[in-house]
Parts: sequence; structure tokens; C-alpha cells
Amino acid sequence: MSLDHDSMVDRLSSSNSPKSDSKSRAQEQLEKWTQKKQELMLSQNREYMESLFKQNATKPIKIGPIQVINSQGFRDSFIEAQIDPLTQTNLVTLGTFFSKLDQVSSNWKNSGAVENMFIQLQDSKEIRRPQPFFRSGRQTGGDGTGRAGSTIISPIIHLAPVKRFYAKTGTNVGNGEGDGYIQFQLKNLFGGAENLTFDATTGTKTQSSYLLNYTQPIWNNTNLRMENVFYMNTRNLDWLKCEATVRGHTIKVSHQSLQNRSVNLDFSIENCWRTVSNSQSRALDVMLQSGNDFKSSALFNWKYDTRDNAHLPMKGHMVRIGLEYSGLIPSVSSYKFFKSVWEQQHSFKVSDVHSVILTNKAGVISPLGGSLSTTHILDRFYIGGPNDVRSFLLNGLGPKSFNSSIGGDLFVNGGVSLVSKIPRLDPESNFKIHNFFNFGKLIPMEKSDHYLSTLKSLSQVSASYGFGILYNHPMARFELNFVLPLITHDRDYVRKGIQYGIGVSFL
Amino acid sequence: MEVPQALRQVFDSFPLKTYPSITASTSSQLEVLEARKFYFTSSSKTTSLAKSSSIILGINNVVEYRDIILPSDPVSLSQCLIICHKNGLKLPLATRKGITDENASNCLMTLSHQAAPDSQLPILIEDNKKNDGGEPIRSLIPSYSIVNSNKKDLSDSSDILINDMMDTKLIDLWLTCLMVDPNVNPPVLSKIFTLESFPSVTSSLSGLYISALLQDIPRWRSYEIRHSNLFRNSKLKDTITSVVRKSDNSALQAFYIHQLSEVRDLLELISDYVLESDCMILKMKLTGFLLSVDLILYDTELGKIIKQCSYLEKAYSNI
Repeated sequence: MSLDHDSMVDRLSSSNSPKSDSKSRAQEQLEKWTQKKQELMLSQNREYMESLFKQNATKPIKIGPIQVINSQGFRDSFIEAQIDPLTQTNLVTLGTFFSKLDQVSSNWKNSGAVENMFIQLQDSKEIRRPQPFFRSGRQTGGDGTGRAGSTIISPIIHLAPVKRFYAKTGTNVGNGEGDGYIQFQLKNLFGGAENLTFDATTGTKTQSSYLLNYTQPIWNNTNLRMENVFYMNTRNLDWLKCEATVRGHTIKVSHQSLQNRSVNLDFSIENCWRTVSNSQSRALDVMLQSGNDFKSSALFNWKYDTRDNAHLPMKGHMVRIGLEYSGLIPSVSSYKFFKSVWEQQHSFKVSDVHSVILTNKAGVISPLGGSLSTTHILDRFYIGGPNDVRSFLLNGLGPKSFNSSIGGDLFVNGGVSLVSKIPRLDPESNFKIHNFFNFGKLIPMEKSDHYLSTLKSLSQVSASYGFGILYNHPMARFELNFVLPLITHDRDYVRKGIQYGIGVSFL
Repeated sequence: MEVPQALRQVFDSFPLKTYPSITASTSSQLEVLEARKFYFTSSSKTTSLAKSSSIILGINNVVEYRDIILPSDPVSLSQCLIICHKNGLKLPLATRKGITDENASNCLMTLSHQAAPDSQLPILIEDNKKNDGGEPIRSLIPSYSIVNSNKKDLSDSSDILINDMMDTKLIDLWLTCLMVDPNVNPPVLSKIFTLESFPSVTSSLSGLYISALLQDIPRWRSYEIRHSNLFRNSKLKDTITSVVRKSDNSALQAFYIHQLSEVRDLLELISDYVLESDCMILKMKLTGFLLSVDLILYDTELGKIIKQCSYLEKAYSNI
């Protein structure tokens, strides 16, 4: 645990000082103007530098020896791979040089092995005792200029590596629920941004959860990562009135495009052994599927995300396509299916005060095999809840059997939210008010039905309207809403009046 | 503070429109359900069950004997026979003949033991249909309640004593046999429990399922609590033991040998009593125990003793 001593002293001193409390209006105004002046100077400086760089964008640059400071914790091969853009060629234009620096910076930041970094550029003449770890292709003249009269610049990369070992323990209590957790992290294990994480949680909702996660870049490429997760968890599924224990292993390879940082794709293979134990459900679906089954599936996800904030976007777009094929090992897979999910979110400002968020999700799961094939209750879709279709309880929409939400094979849901700044509050405040309209429908899919009739049955959606206040914390979004169901189905679990939600993803 | 009437009326008017409920099951789900059901057939005495109610007896698995479907474990078989006797029903037929509209809702259904809230079968699922045609009122009667309900029909103290002996001594012996007897192998366990529903029963994964099952068995009928001296090992050791299966559980093995030495006399005592008694509950319980052991566990030490029981022939004639 670390205490930020300086800030604590600042807080104490500021709270004890009568002067600071009795700052005159004029002083406050002066401080404001001084701050504005500094900001203006900074922006002018930036603009000047940018125009200078633009003017000299085609100026030839020779890349001199590259130094990496604080690199003791990294393997040579890993460092070489990160600074590779700078070592490919030594004669470049100034514009290309800066884009290469950006790539190097992005490589290090993506690795997650450095807390902070900055790159210092030095004219070769200034280097008194050059200590080149890595030297670019060709030697240059000792006078600081290349033979063709180009400037020689030596980048010095300063790294602030992350803490190699990190442990955290704590408890969460609230809403009649509680849990305790312990987490260990070993970072940069073998000097190539390899991380090992162990998580253990026990609580009322999640009875127990153990997770061991090993991640590493593939071929020292921090944009291409491999993740190995071993897990075992037991959860109470209140909407099904049963308990599920899952033990398994997932191997995942994720890639972030170098050209377009907004595009992510990942491929994973999941093998798990699942046990469903009935707690109180009287639904035959739950009773029939209680017991053990083995799932072996391949998953693919493609995501395009340009949103400025994932929890509460004010501008940008997000599109995700997810595909899953279960039945990779046919001899052991109990339930074979193909599942696909579509998700999109578009947000834009309509004025200085208001912005609109449009969200839509849809998914279908289709059992593979003979006529006696069906989908498992743990694989089906569930919709409804304070983070989903509001004004309904968690997973409160769709098919029900004896008060258990047994999930569906096909769903569509969406929402329109108008997020507005609160009058008389700082425009940058994380508190906002919002009005929303949500809709959704979840149905079981009849194999024999024509797709048109299936689509038609999706038309009569449940819908709701509400308004409320939200707080966008960097870790999660908090909402307190007044909600009203407009259209419902019999046996939908409706919430009318006040509803609150906490989460990272909302409709 | 009271909410103004007008505001309350506006609030209560939501939702503005309500559609009928969404269908819960598809035809393929119903087919899967039907494949697990074995309907009782009716006899001339089928009168007891009201038309508005139906029963499903959730059991571990079924075994076929001369075209008759029988539950695979002694408790389920005994209770199935008692239900049939009380309600004038006949045991399900493998040919699925004799199913009429009246009894088409009364059946046996194979389930995993984890389908029951207390993780032990049988479980009785009773549906009482509503007049409005909506979802019936369903109640789940767990295994211990079903077994205890038999006592209500016993008035004689000797009958109660014999009934308790069967419920504890004989069923404990059956449970020990499952845990300890070397001839209770995966194929035998798959006959008793619904492991066949998993395509992996023949693969190496069946070992995982069976080890999980063997960890649950001691909890049934409070066996572990009543014989806590047999389970003093650490949890970790228990787990390892159950994975390698019955390799070094000397206390349980000694208990099994002790139970086997007693069971011959015990069975003779119970058989003699039941033969002389006119109590149907006792007759059905003994029949259920003897048949389930003789039909599935015939290769075990317990099965060899049962073969010599004087009541075995009578038990077969009872069904």
C-alpha cells in the first residue's frame, strides 16, 4: 500500500490554512487568468512546434545510436522488437521519423510492462559518451551530420517499468451481498512482458472463483497477445434458481491492428466442464439439464471501436461481431451449437449540452445435430436488467418456466439515450442526466419455422422509458433511474419506479 | 405522505400494453423431454389420481425387465412400486403401449441427481392444473419427504421398526456397495445413473463425472453424517481417493465387510416378517431393494448374497 505523502500534506495544509479559505474573489480571478495564460502559452508552443515539424517534414534525418534507459528487466530480443521501427533504416524524413517514434512508443505502452515512458531526442554531437545498445544500419560521420548533409538524431528511450510483483486483498459489501478477494500479479516474468495473475474470490453471489491467467506477446509483438486462462468458479444463477460450477481452460489470441487501433480481433478456444445443480427451480428445462456436461468451443470476435469512452460515449462508433462454434471435440461435446452475436453503438453530439447514444444488439444460437438437439441453459441468451433493457429485472425478459427465466435462442434489443449536461454544474462534471427508451425481445427458436415467421415473432417487443441521473466513474458507470414499462409480455419480470444500475456496458 | 390519486392512477396505468407470455419450449425441447419420460399404464383400479393433477417421479435411470421399465436404484424402485400400488397404476412398458389420455401425464423421468435440490433422487414432481388453463401449480417433494411419508401408512410398531431397518440398514449397504465394491465399475454405474445421456461416457471424461458422482454419494440419506467415523480423512485426501477410486479407503471397506456379514441374517429376518405381514409398503420396499440389486449389482458381493434370499422369487412375482 502506498500513501501519497505530498498530496496528503497539501490537503492537510490547505484545510488548516485560514488564508486559503478566505481567498478573495480577485485572487481567485488572478489564479484563473494565470492558469489560462499558461495553457495558452503551452498551446502556442505546441502549434509552433507542429508547424515547424510540418515545414520540415521532408527534411532528411539520420537515426543515430538508440539508447534504452532502465531496460535491465527486459530481454534483448524483446527490446529489439519494440524499437524495430527505428532500426529498419537509418535515413528517413522527419515526418517518417516521428511516426516511427509513435510506433515505438505505442509498442512499449501496449506491452503493459512499462508504467510510463518518454523519448528524448539528441543531436549526435551532444552525445559525449555514446553507449549504443542498438545501432541502426549504417555508420554516420562523427561531425553530427550524415554524408548527405542530413541531421543525425539519437533517440534515448526512458522507461519506467511496472512493479514486478503486486498483491491485493479486500472485501466488498453491499446490497445484501458480500465477497472477499485476493489477487497476485507477477509482471514481466521473463523479460518479455509476460504476466501471470492469480485471482481468488469467495462471496455470496459467486460462491468461489479461482483464476490463473498467463499472458504474453507472440513473437515479441505487443499487438499480438496470447492469453492462457485456467479457471474454476461456482455461481448462483438466481434467474434460473440453480448453481453452476465451471472448470476449464481458455486459450485466446488477440490482435490489435497496427494501422487502425480501433480494430481488435481475437480468437479463442474454450474447453470446460460444467455442472448445473438445481437449487429451487421447478422448471423441467433446468431439471433436465442439471448435471455434468463438457463444452469445447471456438470463438471469434471482431470489434471496431472509435468511442471516446466505453462506459459513456459522447462520440464515436462501436461495432462487434462474435461467433462461437461449440462441438470442437465431437466425442465429448454434449451440446453442439453455432452462436452469433451482433452489437453496435453510435454516439454523437446534437448540441453543446446534449448527446445521443444509439445501441442495438442481436444474437442467435442454433443447435447442431439431429432432431433431439437442443441448447443448454448456460449457453442461451438472457436479456433484461438495469444494464440492459431497463425497467425489467435482471434477465427478466423472455421464456419462463415455473418462475425460472430459462433463456432463449434468438434476441434483439436496443435503446436510445439522450445524455445531457446538468444545468449550473461544471460542464466537465461526470454527473449527467439522461432520458432513455429501451426495447427487447427474447424467444426460443423453432427449427422447423420459416425464418420470416421467426423474424415476425420478434416484432412484438417489450419496451420501457425512463430518466435518471448517472455518474461516469473511470472504472464503471452508476445510474439511478425512474423507469416505466411501456409494453410487456405476461410473465416478464417488471420493475416500475426506481431502478439503479452499476456496470461498464449499458444499452 | 400519501401519493395523490391522479398520480397513482397514471403510475398504475403502466404498462400500457401487455402481450401474451412467450412460449417456453420448442418442439425439439419437448422431444428431448419426452425421450426421458416413461409413462405408467393404467389398470382397472386407476381411480385415485384426480384428473386435474399429475405426477412425475424423477429417478436416476431405468432398467428393463421382461418389457417392464423399472427404476434402477432401490429407493426409486420401492417408491415407484408404492405409488403404483396406491394409485392403481401399472409399471411403464418398454413398448410404450397402454398409454391412455388419463395416465399420459403420470410418468417416470430420468434425471441427474443434481436435478433435485438436495442432490438425491427420487424426487416427486406434482402438478395441479389450474382451471384457467395457465401454468399448473407445481410442487417438488424431495426424497426424504417421500420416504418419510410412507410411515404415515404404518400403524404397527413392528412394521415401523422393519421399515426403518430397510430405510437405513439396507440402503446404507447399497450405498457402501456403490462406493467400495470392486465390481461396481463405470459400466455398472452408468446403468444405475443417467450417464448415458452424455456422449462422453465412454471417453476418459467419464472418469471425471464418476469421481464427481462418488463424491456426492456419501451425502445421500445423511450417510456421511451418520457414519462420520468413516470419513475422517482430509478433503484433499478424499478427493484424491475418489479420483483413483476406492483404492485405499480401508475404513469404508471394513464397514462394507461388516455390513455384508450382518445382511444375510437381516434379510432373513425381514423376509420372514414381510411374508407373514400384509403390509404393502414393506413388501414393496423389500421388493425394490432386492430387484435393483439383483438386476444390476448381481456381480457384487452384495448381489451374491441377495441371490440366496428366500424372498427374491416372491419379489419378482410382485411386479
